[in-house]
Amino acid sequence: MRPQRLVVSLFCLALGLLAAVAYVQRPGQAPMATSPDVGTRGSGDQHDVPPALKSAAPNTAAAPASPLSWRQVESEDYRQYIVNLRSISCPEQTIRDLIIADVNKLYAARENPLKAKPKPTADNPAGETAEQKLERLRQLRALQLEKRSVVKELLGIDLPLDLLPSSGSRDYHAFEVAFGILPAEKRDAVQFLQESYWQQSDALKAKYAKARTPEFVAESRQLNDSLRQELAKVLTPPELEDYDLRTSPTAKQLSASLATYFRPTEEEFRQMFRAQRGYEDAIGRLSTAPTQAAQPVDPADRQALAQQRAAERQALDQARSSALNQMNEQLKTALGEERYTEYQRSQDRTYDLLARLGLRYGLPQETVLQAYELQKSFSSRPGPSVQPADRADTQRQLNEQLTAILGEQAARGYRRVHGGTVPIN
Amino acid sequence: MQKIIFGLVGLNLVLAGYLAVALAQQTSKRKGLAKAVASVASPTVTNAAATARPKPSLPVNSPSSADATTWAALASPDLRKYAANLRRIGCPEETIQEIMLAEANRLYGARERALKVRPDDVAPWEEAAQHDRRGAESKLRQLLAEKRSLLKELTGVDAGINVPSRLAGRDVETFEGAFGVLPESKRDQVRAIQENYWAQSDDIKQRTLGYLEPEDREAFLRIKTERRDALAKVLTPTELQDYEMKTSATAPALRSRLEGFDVTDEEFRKVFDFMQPLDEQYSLSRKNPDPVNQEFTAARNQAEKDLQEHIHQVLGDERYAEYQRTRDPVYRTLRQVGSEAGVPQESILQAYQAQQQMQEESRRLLQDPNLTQEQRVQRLQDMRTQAEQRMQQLFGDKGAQILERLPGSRMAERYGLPATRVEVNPNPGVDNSVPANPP
Repeated sequence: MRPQRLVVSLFCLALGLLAAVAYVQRPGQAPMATSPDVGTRGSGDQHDVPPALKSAAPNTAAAPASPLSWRQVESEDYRQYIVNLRSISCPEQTIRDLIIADVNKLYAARENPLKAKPKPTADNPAGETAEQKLERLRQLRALQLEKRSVVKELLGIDLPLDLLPSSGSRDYHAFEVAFGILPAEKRDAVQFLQESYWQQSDALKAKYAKARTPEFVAESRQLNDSLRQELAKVLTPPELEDYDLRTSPTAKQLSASLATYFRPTEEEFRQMFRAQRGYEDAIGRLSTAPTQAAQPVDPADRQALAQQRAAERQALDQARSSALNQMNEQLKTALGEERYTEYQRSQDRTYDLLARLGLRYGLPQETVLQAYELQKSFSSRPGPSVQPADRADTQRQLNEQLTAILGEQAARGYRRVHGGTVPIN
Repeated sequence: MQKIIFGLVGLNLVLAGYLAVALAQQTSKRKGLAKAVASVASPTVTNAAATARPKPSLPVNSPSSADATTWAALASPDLRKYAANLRRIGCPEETIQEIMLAEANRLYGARERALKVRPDDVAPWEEAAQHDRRGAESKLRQLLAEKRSLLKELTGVDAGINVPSRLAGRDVETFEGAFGVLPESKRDQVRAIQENYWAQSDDIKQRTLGYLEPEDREAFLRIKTERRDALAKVLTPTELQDYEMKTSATAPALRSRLEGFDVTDEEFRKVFDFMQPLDEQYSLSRKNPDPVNQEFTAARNQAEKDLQEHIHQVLGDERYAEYQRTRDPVYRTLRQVGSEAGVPQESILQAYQAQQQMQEESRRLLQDPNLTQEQRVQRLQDMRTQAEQRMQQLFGDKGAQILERLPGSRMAERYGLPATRVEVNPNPGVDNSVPANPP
């Protein structure tokens, strides 16, 4: 290459590099920020700028004189980044979205390995021991607290802690919702109690290999009672009831069973929840109460043993029946006669089938009720002793009468879901 | 000249070095955040202060009046415009994704909450009726599909949106898993086909409420066929088969039928391919949907026979016989406990035959009206003794243990009969439990 050409090439390269440097170093680039002191935190009101951040000034070099460029706001220091965003009137909500998303991504790399149970190995077929699991969850919680502290520092807001799920098939989302509606100052305490309970409960199941031995039942009950006592120390009775309404299987089942036809008011639901809880407590006590044998039976005498067991079962059935009657009386008093009747009907599968049939074929409610009463009257007739011929005749009668009430198409639809016939007993 | 050349080389080196340092200073925000994290992280527990929910409104701005030097010049109720504005000023794609996801969540939030499907949005006493809830879940699924599609358009990536694990009776997670393993280029199309099918299927279910007339079944069959044909145009035969085996109701039903039988992957696929269209037409994996229709019931029975014949053909005589035995829980238990005890398969088969004979005899005894309860108990007791002897012959010392582990003793004890397994049901699916007062 000729020297002149080389000089021209080198000169052009120098110009190019100069232009690149000028572009990179143009105004708007925030300098490396030093870590500010952790100052007084904000009130937590999302519309307030945390005082620690109010004191920071937007990068003067970033003062926009020309249309916006992202480089004006970008900074490797997050405090400066936030200040820069505020200086161009970025909405607080958007700032929060950006910072929280980034903090979550940053912590995900450390949190994710702690969220999953390790894969089983030859040395540890279960994946981890109970102690290892507790340690893993402890480390995860420490990271969550650290993350919350970072967000608090940057934005002046408290993020709710992610829930630490233990094993088992619990409705963890329902608990998250319940924690969310608790008074803010009690949320952490309740969450920690509940998570500790899950861990202990799972450890108990592992200890007894999921077998419901009397020892397991006793220890499990003790654990439950202990949780209730601890929760009652943190929450007021109405708060505790609200918490139970969001988290207990009782409330969930009740909610599902009442939703379609009964449609309770809040007050009715609360009354029914209390009655149902009372009933379940009574049944729980029965299952853990020691059975009283009238006379000791020779274990080798199988027939006597069978009779004794039958007697015990009968006594248990009677106690259950008594608890059920008590609950029903309580419901009748709380709801009144008319609503109680509606409630009972709403729990009957036959009514559900007929009500849906009514909706499907556009039948009036009166027709549905008429068919329901007819079906009930046939269902309450004695069953096992009826001879096959009588049974067929009864079914024919019911079918004819139902067809007269429901019409041919709806009656056929009803028979279709009952295996081609109408049900008696 | 040489001096000029050296001078220019030196200048270029200096400029290149300076540029490298300047670029290095613009490292990602993450590094800066990590520093910030290190400076503020504290492991102590603090009391939570009130955390307000995100405001459901978009940052509204009229671009014409906006100050070109503020965020107002970027934000727009039209998210497409908002994203384009951010891109124009050099906002990194990752940051645009974060902003768009948050904005889309706010944009759709009110409509999602109004459906009252998520537990966050509904008090226990406000839960909707089952059929209304199903309809609301269907609408939520469609809304989420719309949101996902919008985000894909805005950001070019499939942003993770929060979807409940079950919606309108379907396991969303299973489908998400199946979409996830499809080639990326086909994923959206398959999603759209599946969503279209779900929407039509939900309409039929909402209208019929479980009471299907023949024309409703035909409508179901039509949309299922359309779905499958549409998928076949997008996916290769292998991809389609894999997708269907992961998501259809037929696959778990077939697995259930083959429980305890050691089927190869190839055999399973062959039977699955044959069974799926029949299952879609005649609901072979569920109960008969139209028992009042004799013509349909006859065709359904024929379909079941055809399926059995096909299974026979795929497995061959010997394996088919083994498959039939594995449908009996008694055989499955015998085989399991026998193999654990190291008993040869031949002895297990002999024990099973003896067990079947004993069941047949016990059923006859229980239905014999000429016997008293005492005689019945005695005869059954004798049978148990014989069974124990036979098991001992076949299994040696472990015979009694194996007999103990077979199902059925509890039912016998309940009716005061000896703890024998004679009443075990030889035909799975048919209830032959011992009546309290045998005729």
